[in-house]
Amino acid sequence: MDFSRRNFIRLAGVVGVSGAVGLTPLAVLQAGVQVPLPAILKTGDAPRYGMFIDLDKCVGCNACTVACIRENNTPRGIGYIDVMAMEKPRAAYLDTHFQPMQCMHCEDPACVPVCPVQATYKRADGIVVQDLKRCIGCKYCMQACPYQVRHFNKQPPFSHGRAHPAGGSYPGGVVLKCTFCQHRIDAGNITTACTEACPADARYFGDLNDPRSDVSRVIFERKGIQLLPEKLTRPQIFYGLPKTERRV
Amino acid sequence: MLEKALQGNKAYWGWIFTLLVAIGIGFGFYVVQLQQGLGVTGLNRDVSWGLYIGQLTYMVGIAASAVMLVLPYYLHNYKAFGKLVIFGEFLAVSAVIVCLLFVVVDLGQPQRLMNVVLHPTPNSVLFWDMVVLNGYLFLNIIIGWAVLHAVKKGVRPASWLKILIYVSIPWAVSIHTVTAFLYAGLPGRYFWHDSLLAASFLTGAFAAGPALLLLILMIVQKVSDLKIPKEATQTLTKIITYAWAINLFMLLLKIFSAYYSQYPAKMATFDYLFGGVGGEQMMPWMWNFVFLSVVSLVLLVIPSTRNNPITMTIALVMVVFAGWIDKGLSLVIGGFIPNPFKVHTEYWPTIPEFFITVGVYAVGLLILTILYKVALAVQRENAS
Repeated sequence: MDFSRRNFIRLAGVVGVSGAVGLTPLAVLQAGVQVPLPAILKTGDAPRYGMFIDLDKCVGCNACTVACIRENNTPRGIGYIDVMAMEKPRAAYLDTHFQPMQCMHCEDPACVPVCPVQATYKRADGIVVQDLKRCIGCKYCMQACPYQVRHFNKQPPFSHGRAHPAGGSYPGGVVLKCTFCQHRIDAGNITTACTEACPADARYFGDLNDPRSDVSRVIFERKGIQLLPEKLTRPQIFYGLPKTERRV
Repeated sequence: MLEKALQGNKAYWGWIFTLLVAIGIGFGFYVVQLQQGLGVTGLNRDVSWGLYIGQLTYMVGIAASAVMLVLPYYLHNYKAFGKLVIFGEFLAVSAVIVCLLFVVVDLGQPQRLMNVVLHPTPNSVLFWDMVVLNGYLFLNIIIGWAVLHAVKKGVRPASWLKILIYVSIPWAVSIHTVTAFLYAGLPGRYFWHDSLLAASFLTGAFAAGPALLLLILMIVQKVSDLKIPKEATQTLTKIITYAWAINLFMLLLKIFSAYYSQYPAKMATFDYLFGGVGGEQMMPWMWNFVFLSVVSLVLLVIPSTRNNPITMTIALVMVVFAGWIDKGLSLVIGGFIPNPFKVHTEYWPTIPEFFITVGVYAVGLLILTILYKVALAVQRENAS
């Protein structure tokens, strides 16, 4: 290579400019200025709700589990959130992180097409809900869901259980699931009980179609991943991997 | 013609009474299940289908296997099956009723059953399963009854019946195919998500179904004047042999593709079922299945043991039981264990679940007994 002065200056210039270009967004972000992020998640203009769960922050305290049961007043034995302890034996220690599991509110849900009575469906705002008045309790959606996050209410079919937050009561013998606190969203309160309750601020909830929302930003920054992507269900809950699991 | 079922000897009424008692006990436990909810069963979040849906799958196969008599008789004019076809069709009728009852007892909200009709969902396989099972039920009731009526009057069956019979042949294949699609269409369950599933369902059914029919007919032969033609027995056992061999071959295909490629999710279920990884509840059943399958196949393949009534009966019992372990037990339970997150949660039926299952089978046997009684009486009148 010809390291003449002119070439060296040219090279230095290229490196400098590209470095400056590369660093600019970081500088802008650090300064707290809102920049429109690439709309990687955007599917339209109407709100589409989703969540980000930071596994680096989650301490496995189950505050979300309890808050969810309280908020939704779920029947005995049912909680929509299950905090799984993920353990990996390393050379000298056990590597543990916690992974809260609940309905992923998939973009292409596997549970919706299998329902023989159209009791489960996806709302326009992306929330997958269950019509408790129509469900016959065949449990076929539970077979279809790859995430094991649907729950069967084992209470008797003719009983009237606890009060449902959206009104009425929980019928027995139907399938129940996380509703992303549907009753709150319908009332204009765009947050979920689990997000509010998390003491570690590991959960972010909001509109994935809005590139400026907290949840979109954090999914972009933390390179949020979806669980079992090979199932092509496109979950709307994204996870931020803990440091030990991140691939360089 | 139904009044013929009201005439019988002491043994007949004793049998009917036994069945009624079994139905009563099963119904009692079903009332308990309605009052206390499906919590009385062993079903849980991870294993949400169990004994009931397993029996549905097995009995759909028994129902479909009637085609193994209908097809040779009506398409190939195979006369040896002439007198037996009606028994195959009536077995199908009672088996389909048993299937539908097993769906009902598995529902959490049985009183909403009609929602399936009120809100038809063509993209749900369960909806289509309901359509094909009910269609098959009505086809076989109409065909069986009309043929029997013709025999009673000593005339040839009406020509429109031929069309229904031809329709019923692919329909029989369809009921088991759609039932297999119920499982094979779910990407979340590696054990079920297998394109071989429908084919192996059919071969398993075409072995276990005729085997069960032959065993039932042997009992009927003991207690009535029915004569099974020797040629019919030989042909049926040959059908059973081929179907059973292909069924076991397909199982080996699944094991090969799982283990040679070391595909973790596919191996996990076989590890659990045969190796006891994550729970040993199913392991003894699975090794019994292997033992029964291999011994019965050997007994059926060797001509001298296949044609010897005693060894043949042993082989048939083994095929029926092995087929039941395969489809009635391990298929449904194995599909859930381990779950997609590699968690092993075991399941075992509870006492109420067991007695409800026995009760449903007793309903099927009662219907079968009544239908067979009518058919035998009509055939006897016709012969005299």
